[in-house]
Amino acid sequence: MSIITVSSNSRKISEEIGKRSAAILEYQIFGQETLVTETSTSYGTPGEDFSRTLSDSPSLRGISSKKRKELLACLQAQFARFLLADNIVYTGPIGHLFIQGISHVLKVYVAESIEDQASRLMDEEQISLNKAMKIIKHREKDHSKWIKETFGVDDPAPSSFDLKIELDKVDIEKAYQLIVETVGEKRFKAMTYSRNQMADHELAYRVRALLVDLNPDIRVLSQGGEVTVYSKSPGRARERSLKVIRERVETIDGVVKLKVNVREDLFRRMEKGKR
Amino acid sequence: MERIVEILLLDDEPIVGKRLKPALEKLGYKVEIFEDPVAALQRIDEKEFDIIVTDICMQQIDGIQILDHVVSKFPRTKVIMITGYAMIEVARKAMEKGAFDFIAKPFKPDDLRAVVTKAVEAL
Repeated sequence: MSIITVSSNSRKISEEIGKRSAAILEYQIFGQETLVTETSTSYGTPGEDFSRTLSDSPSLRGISSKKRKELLACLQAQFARFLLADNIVYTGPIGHLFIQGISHVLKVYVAESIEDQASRLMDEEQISLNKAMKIIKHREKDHSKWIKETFGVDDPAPSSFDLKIELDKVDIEKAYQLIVETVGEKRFKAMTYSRNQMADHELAYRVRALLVDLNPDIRVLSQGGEVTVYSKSPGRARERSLKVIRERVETIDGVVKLKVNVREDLFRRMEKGKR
Repeated sequence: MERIVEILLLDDEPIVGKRLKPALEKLGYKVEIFEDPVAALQRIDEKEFDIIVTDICMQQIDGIQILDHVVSKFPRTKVIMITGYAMIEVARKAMEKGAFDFIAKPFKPDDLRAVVTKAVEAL
């Protein structure tokens, strides 16, 4: 009973490896499209907005930073909901960043050489090797920038993964075998602790997704249904903020106890005072 | 006649044994509690328990050492690890070494009862 996230510098490779590993293990599989579609249905926001959040780097003409945080919170909540199922494979670029610290989640990174990626792109797009290399380098640069600005980490950071496979050293058949063997190790077996942690994460992300419009940096922790919300609010708005948070959270399924900690946002108060 | 399931419960905090012993005895299990890991280890050498519930962070001998000892000597015994300092590395290490399950404190007696019930079924 485990979960596998497969990330790669090549979407085609992560999908192929994910599908094949899921078939061997008889696990369910989902990818970015399913995540976007289901999040869109759950939160009533167009799927295109979620897709753009997952692909476009922050820019002045793009989605605002606040809106991006709201959309990501919804995606993360939906992602965690999928992972409650166990025996599941996710293929996509952000799986390893959306859920952290759960012992039965095996995080795999598969690296395809730039030459192999370029060669495939040349065939697909009927372009020169030089142009294909340029496109791939540009995509990788954009992706790294997106990860850095969205999650504040370098990607792919070796410490983010349990298993890193380099396809110029290992053939693809061996890659499936490595994943299947690794996830079969006892250390990746689900246990009461890791299942409870997953449930805690899922509830915290679900609560956060419903509050993030109040404060894009709002933090939510959950332990066994006891939810703690940490937020900031300027001066007189603090009482109202507390009330709104309580009203929204108390009706959420799974919340047995709620603590709300809203500190005064002195910077915003000072800003308002200057106006 | 069905044999009574025998459980050894080791935790250096006396309150843990005091609270959990009656919770497990209610289910019909025979429970011995220990606060001193050295004394617990001596008892483990004398008798093959069905289930051992052990804390991880203890002085002198830690729960992982208890687990190693039990796994090598009594492979049939199910070992359940409990800890107030749960971390992914420790959890994975315990499972790798053959723990049956791993629970983070604080937990309710019902949570442990559920895990022990699963361990009994797996015996």
